[in-house]
Amino acid sequence: MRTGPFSEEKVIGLLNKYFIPVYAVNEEYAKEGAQPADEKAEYQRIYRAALDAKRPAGSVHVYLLSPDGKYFDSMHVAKAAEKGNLAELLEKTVADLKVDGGKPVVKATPQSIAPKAKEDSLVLHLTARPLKGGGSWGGVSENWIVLSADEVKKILPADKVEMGTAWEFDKDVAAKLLKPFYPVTENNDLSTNRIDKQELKATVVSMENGVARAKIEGALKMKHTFYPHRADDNVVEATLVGYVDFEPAKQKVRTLRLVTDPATYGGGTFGVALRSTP
Amino acid sequence: MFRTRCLLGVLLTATLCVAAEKPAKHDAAWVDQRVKDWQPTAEEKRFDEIGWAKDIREAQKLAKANNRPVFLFTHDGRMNIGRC
Repeated sequence: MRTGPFSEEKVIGLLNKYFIPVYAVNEEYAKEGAQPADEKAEYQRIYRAALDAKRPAGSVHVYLLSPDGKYFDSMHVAKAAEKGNLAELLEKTVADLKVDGGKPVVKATPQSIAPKAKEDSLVLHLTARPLKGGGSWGGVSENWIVLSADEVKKILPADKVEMGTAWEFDKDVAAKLLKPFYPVTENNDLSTNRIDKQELKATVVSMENGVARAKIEGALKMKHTFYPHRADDNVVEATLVGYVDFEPAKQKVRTLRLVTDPATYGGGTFGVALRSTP
Repeated sequence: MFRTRCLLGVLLTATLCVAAEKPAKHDAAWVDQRVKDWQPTAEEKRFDEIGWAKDIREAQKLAKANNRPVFLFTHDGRMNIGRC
């Protein structure tokens, strides 16, 4: 939906002009999910209202409510994703409810934002995109990874640093960085990714004004199923290259960059870029 | 003849300049460029142009106040980061 109807000029315009758009992450609304009880109850009420009306209902659906909160209509995601269907449903709703258009009620803001983190932590942003062949949906996926100050120390050399100093990233911290190195798929439970091989080696190639630059070279072989709860033979295989600029005296990372060259999965190639922020 | 030589000289110099500016594969400049090239484009972030409410209850509150219907999309994964 994100790369389909939600990227179409007409749908964006209709949603902003006539509706109050909202999306709900099912995991957050499950029994153990993070949403408060009354928010979960409202989600359930809407779902049950659709069932009572003998209209489409399910976990991945579009629901429309009238301004007073009553169930109005719904559509399965497969149908909503087909070109033209969602715009048609929105236009029908606007006409039936006689909605006066206007400016967007909620200001549009970036939806992928860096998580709040302690000042001494390292916040990293990852993008994954398909390049050639299959093995990936279209569009771009993102992840945010936060390393604590202790974890940052574990990817830096503990001893004296000089030209040519070489070391390997701590295995657990490296795994934390590498588990999101997969293409745009429907299985996004990182705990199901099984790393069979990982290497992240760094070598100092320059030192200037108390800052060292180390080249990073690595490799990854990771089992990742395309769909959740559905076994397949797909495996991520990637060669990794990047660099880290750090202050040895403070055990602090200034910049970290890591990219794939190349990465393969499911018969296609994909690219991942990891960068420290800001 | 002189003009031809000059032209060849200019072309050769330009070629060398381009070759010199191109980062060596896998050096820091090459990595930086690859990171830049693979960031989401504005076209890939059109989803962000929609004014999304924070949650269902807030959407209902705003719907009532502004006499607008609520559009709710429920999904698995994280649509905001394209992992869904």
